This record gives sequence, structure tokens and C-alpha cells, in this order.
Amino acid sequence: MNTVFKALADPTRRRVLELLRARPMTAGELAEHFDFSKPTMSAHFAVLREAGLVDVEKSGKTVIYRLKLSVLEDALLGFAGTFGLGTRAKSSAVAKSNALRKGIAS
Amino acid sequence: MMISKPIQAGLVWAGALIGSAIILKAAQTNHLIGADAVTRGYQTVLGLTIAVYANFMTKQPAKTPPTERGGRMQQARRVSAWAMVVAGLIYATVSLLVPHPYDTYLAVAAVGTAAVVGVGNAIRCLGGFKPK
Repeated sequence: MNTVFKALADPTRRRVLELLRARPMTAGELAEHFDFSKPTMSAHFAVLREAGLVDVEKSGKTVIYRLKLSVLEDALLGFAGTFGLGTRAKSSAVAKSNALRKGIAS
Repeated sequence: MMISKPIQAGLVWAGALIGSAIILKAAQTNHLIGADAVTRGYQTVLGLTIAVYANFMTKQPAKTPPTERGGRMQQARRVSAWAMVVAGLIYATVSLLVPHPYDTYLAVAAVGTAAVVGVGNAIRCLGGFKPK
């Protein structure tokens, strides 16, 4: 259950799950919705897979991701999305890293 | 011998069902609770069983294609699972709290409605008919 909470705490991973709610998608289709690099997206996918929230199928050269949420996990996803869990922590981490970068530059 | 995780979980749940039945019967034999409480207790456990199994319905592997139709198939499964979980929880609650015989009517109505919602939504999602 801890891995599930960890996976749902990140807004990017929640966005991936929300996209998969519409329909199963290939890794490329999912990555199109984000500005992140391929390794970053792969890391997010790995966390979701480890938590058992997505099902992965290799079909030739493409990797298909499917939603594999139980009803309880689905409710937790909705809850986390409604209250924006992890969004504040992420934005403060980004602000800190920006401040650090500015400090180094000046 | 290796037993798969779902079978292990099923055996544990079956053990819990049998265990709760034995505990309730023993409590009745020792005049701690009446026959009505035994029935209500067991009906509540059955309602929770429906909810727990429906909770994992969407976890079952399904090779839905990455297309719009695949999305609709996935949606049908989600709605069925949600409907059954809610029905299971209603079943458990009314079995515990609502006076007899209304508890039975409400419990059966809840599960029946969930089944109709699940099947109706599956037909709608898979293109059988489109409501206006």
C-alpha cells in the first residue's frame, strides 16, 4: 500500500493515470502529453508499474500501458487529485532549485 | 507447492467467512446473541465480500486495445466495479441496521440495481445502443 501512496503522491503520475482512464495508451502517446525527457517518463512509468497501478504489454516495438486500479485505488486517485496532494511539495522543490540556480549564477 | 496470490487471498477470505460463521454460531449457542443477530452478522459479512471482490474486479488482466473501443471496454469494467462495491457496502449496512424484512428487500434491490447498471453500461459503452 505504501508504494501505491508513493505513486499517487506525484502530480505527473496522477496525470498519467488520468490519461489512461480515457483509454489504454502507448508509451509514446503518453509521453506526448508531458515536457519531460524519456528517462524521466520511464522512471514515472516504473513507479506506477511497481505499485501495480498500470499493466504493461510489449507489442512489437510499442509498449502499451493500461489502467489497473482497484476501486479503492481509483477513489484514492480522485481524492489525491481533488486535494492536489504533492503539488505544493513539488512546486516548493522547484522554487528551491530555481533559487539555488539563481544563487549559483549570481 | 506454489499457490498464486489470488488463490491465497481467496483461501484467506474463505477462512474468514467460515471463521465468522463459527464465531456467530458459537455466540448464539452460548446465548450471547440471538438468531436475528447471527443472520444480520453473516449477511453483513456477505455484503462486505461482494464489496471486496468487486473492488478487485478492475485489477484482473484484460487485453484491451489502445483504441477508443478499448477505452470504452475499460470504462464498462470500471462502472461495473464501482456499482458493485457501492451495492456491497449498502448490502452490508442495511443488513446490519435496517429492520426485518426491509433489510432483505433493500439489500437485494441494491445488488440488483448494481447488476443492471453494470450490464446496461457495458451495452451502452460497447455500442449496443446510445441513449438520447
